[in-house]
Amino acid sequence: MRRSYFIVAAVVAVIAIGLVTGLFEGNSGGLESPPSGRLKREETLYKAGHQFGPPTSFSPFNTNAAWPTNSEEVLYETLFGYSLVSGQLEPILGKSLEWTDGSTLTITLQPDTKWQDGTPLTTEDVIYTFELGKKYAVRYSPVWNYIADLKAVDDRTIEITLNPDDPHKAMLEDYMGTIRIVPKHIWSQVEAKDGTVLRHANTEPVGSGPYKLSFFSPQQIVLERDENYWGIPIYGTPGPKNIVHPIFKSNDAANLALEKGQIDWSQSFVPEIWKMWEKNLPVGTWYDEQPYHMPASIPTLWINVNKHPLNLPEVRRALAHAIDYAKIAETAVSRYSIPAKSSLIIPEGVPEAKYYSEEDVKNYGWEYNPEKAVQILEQELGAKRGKDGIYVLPDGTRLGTFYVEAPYGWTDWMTTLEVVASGARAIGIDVQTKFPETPVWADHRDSGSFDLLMDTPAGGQSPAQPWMRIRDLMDGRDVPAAGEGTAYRNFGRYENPKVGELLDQAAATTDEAKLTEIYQELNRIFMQDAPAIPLQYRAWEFYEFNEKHWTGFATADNPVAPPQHNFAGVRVYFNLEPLR
Amino acid sequence: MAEILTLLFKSKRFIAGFVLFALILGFGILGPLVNPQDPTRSIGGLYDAPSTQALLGTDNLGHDILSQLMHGTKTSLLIGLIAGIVATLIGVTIGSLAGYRGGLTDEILMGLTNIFITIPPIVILILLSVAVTSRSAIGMGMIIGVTGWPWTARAVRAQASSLRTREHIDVARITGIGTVEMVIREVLPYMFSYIFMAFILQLTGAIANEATLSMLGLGPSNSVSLGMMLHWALLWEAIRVGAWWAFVPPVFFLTVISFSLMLMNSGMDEIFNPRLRK
Amino acid sequence: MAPAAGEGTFPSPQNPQYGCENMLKSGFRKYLAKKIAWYSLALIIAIALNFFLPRLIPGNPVQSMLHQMTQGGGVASDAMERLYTTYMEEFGLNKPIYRQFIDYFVNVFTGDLGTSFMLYPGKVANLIGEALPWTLAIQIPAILIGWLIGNVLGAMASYKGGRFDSTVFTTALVFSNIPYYCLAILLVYLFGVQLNLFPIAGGHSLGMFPGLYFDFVVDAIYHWMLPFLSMILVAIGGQAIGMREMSIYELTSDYVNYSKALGLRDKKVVRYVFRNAMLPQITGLALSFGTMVGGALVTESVFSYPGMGSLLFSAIRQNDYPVIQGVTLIITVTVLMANFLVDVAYGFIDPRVRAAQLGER
Repeated sequence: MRRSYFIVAAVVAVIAIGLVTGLFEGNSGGLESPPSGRLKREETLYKAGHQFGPPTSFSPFNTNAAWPTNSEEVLYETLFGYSLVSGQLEPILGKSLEWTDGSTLTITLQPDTKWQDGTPLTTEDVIYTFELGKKYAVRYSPVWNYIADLKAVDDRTIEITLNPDDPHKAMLEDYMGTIRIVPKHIWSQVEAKDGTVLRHANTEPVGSGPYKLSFFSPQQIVLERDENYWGIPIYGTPGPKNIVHPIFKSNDAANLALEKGQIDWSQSFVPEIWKMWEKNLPVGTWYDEQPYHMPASIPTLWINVNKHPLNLPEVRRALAHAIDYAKIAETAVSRYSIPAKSSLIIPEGVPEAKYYSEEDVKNYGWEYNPEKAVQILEQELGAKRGKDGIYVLPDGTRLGTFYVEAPYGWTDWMTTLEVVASGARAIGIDVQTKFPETPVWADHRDSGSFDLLMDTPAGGQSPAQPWMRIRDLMDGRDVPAAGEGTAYRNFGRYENPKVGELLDQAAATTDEAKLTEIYQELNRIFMQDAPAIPLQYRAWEFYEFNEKHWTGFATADNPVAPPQHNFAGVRVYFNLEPLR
Repeated sequence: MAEILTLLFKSKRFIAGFVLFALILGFGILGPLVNPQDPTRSIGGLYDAPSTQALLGTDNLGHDILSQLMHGTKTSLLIGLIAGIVATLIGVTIGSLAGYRGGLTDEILMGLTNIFITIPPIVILILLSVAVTSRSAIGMGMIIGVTGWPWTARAVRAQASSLRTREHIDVARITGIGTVEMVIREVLPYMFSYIFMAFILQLTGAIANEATLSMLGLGPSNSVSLGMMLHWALLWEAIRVGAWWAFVPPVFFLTVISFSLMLMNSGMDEIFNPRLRK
Repeated sequence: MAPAAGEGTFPSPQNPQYGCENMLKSGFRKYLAKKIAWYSLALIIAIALNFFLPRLIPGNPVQSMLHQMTQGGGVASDAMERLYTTYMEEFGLNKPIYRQFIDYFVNVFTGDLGTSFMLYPGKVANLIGEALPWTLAIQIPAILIGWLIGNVLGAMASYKGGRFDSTVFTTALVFSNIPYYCLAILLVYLFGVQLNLFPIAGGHSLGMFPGLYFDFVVDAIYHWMLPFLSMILVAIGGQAIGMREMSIYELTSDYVNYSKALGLRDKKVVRYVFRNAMLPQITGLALSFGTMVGGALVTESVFSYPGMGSLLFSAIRQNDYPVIQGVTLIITVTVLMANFLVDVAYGFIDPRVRAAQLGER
């Protein structure tokens, strides 16, 4: 008996020691001695809303790399950063970009750019980064569709020649603002070792930005300011010495911390944020009134346009008139959207609004109007209401049941679709909601086996909007028919040769007057054919802050930076000051 | 059967458990009838406190928690019942066949059972729940049921194999009836109390498993259950914002359900296992 | 977890005394070989389930992974097609299913649990390695200390009887019957939110670096207290009831009555009683170590505490099948190991058991 006690004690001790060493084995990216102690609150900014799972990779080549790799320009930097406010690509690593002749883009780098390890950052690194996209399948590989030639003039200047077969200036510019430049002296070694850049987790990243990775664990990611940042003479020094991103299990834990002032700056959906300032908390967003956030993407109702009777534009337009857009904005998205209109061009806030025509929407578009919907069904289609209240077409086709899908658990989308379905049923189109698990929904979408489905086409903002969104919604070229292959865009399989033509014309020009004309025409085609229905105008990134510890965040009244965390949004850090 | 019931109602514990469980059952069945309000309709904002409009306040989506609780109780009990029935059916079939037939049948069936008994049920539950396209309440019940049977099978087999050598079986065997009929007519009735206890245990386990799965994010989609109520309350931080009305009711109900079933079970233990009676 | 666990009336691995008519005089080695064969078979079936079940889901995991990764834009649709093919190859999903299974099987035995979909190129084994210590830090002390306290309480209750017994019994009954996550929720709300005595989320304070220094250890223990408490209360309850039942069994048994009639000293009898009652309890302890990974998955989620439960939770939310499979595999392996060791120990200690077991199958 005695001896067994001893054995038990020994086992426990071994386990305990194992645990302790296991627990405290942190990852302190590249630092010689691991950091210890508690960060001072007045030197530390707490962020939330970007990272919800354990961090595993800090490689810009992994689309799901941990914060801040692909979500902010603090570790790795892009050449330029798009701003929602100016609509321009603003300088980051690059100083200027201009079209020196009709087909040559000349890019000049900022002086004295260098990597966090002290190595100079030159055009060689930039060209190396671009060429990786040619060798491997990375997120920016398609940039080579638009490039005929890329060469360094000297160590500060690069010339890119546009591909004469696909002379799309806006798309090329888009990539100038989204490709994060990596150091050649490090990644060429990775390539030599792995034979690819895709498998490297890069847990000791060397970037060029103002912050270095100092520590990460499944609970937090900690960045430390690089006191030798090359950009200090140009951009100044960012306020916080450290940035901590705690990893919460859900948005809502992050929101609670924001309310309490434990989080200073967040990118998360905070429902009813105005309630926080009703409580006199120093919380803010971009606008201090509805819609609070700058609308920048369009969650849309996709329609399978080849499925009878949804192939009839009249049916689709009747459906579009049946949806209460104001109610969606009010209940489903917590007033963070203006009521959606019949436009693929976002009508206000963002730069692309310059192409918007209110008049076209009035003349060709739709709005919530159940009587009009009924009128379309009865007069244009000659449909008759059945005993169950659902219309039947003259050929005997009943309008429904159509299922409308969103992934289960995406509550704001689910609520949105409930509004859609009840509106449709009210006018006599039988629409029912269906919320499968995400992979099933994605499969239905990509293979085209759905009736109606919610998703966001080309969600981001860039110099290439609204072009990318219109292409993703209406361009039938290179999209396999439903059931015949996987689509990566145009899930409704809409086809109209006119659209392709107009898109090509838009791609080839930079003349604003001409662009306005083309985009308005595309938008009119959209309104007449209704291949899809915009449901919300939603923020690109949510942007909320609590000024309990830090002040200087950008707002619409004080637009020192755009309401973004990525790209040009990096300027916010340089404007922050601690409150004591 | 009637004898067993009269016997059971001699146990105070059984009666207490039974009454508690009946109350919950009544709430789950009658509640939705009396209050036909759709539990998935928004009637207020994020975590509105209890008021005359919503007696138990609202949840993260502004749904009425009282209605949710009624439907949730119904769903949870339904899942438990389906799972309990499925597990008991499979378990009793396998167990009594193995026990009665013995020999190779026994070897094969018990081998299977022993393997599934060693693989932790939570693992199969998680994997099965991940694998199905859409988890309805009925589907969840089936999933929980098909993972729960091995315990019942093993227990029933032990009983059945001890019955095999009894006299009345020998008598019946002479009449030359088939195995299935034999099991149904001569084996099962003698194990009824035992099977009933096993069923109650399965029911308890199934309701708890539903809640566990839901809280892991694998609950019945598109429907309200007690576990799903807790899942949303956790996900939307009801505890930390102090919205007690969003999580105390389901916690209370789950506890009472598990307590009442435990009381019933220990009451039955008292009756059928006299040695424990003190 | 299993409904019958902990109920004395059901045969379970800890009291395998059934069907022992036909005694075989086989050696321990034969018994061991048989056990190894059975457990290997169980493991293979578990691995097969682990592999095949998540593959039943319609839709392609890479497709939905790509979608989730690119949610909110940033990746143009042109890039998706190439990314798709690359990842299909990367995860070996373009190979025929039997080939994938063989690869999976071989990899599992070399300790390679695959690569996460959502956290690519993060290795599942590393993710589990980071999460596991937190779970064990709660579970091992809770199981051990809970077992000790529970047994002492149970033994005392059965011995003393009366008010003490009924108090202990009722309290233990309550704690062991509240579902553990419900108790956890109530603890967070009472001690964390209402009384503000303990932190309500995380394994340590934000902005603090883990390490072996005083401030951190204190901080980590402070965060650890509540989840630990929620697990140990349940463990104490269950153990106390089990021990009490076993002791009552023994106290009312013939040999005790006989000894008493013989006038043996009370103390000596009691020692025998508890020694006999302890035996199944020790097996029970070994078996509960088997459930240390899978037994408290929801607790961590309630406390927002890091660990296997939290890892599983986020993997489920993101449909990260390799991580889900990794977690379920670890749960399976710990349970199988614990059961196996108990079986082997039993066969070693008690020759009758191995004879019975060999005869049984």
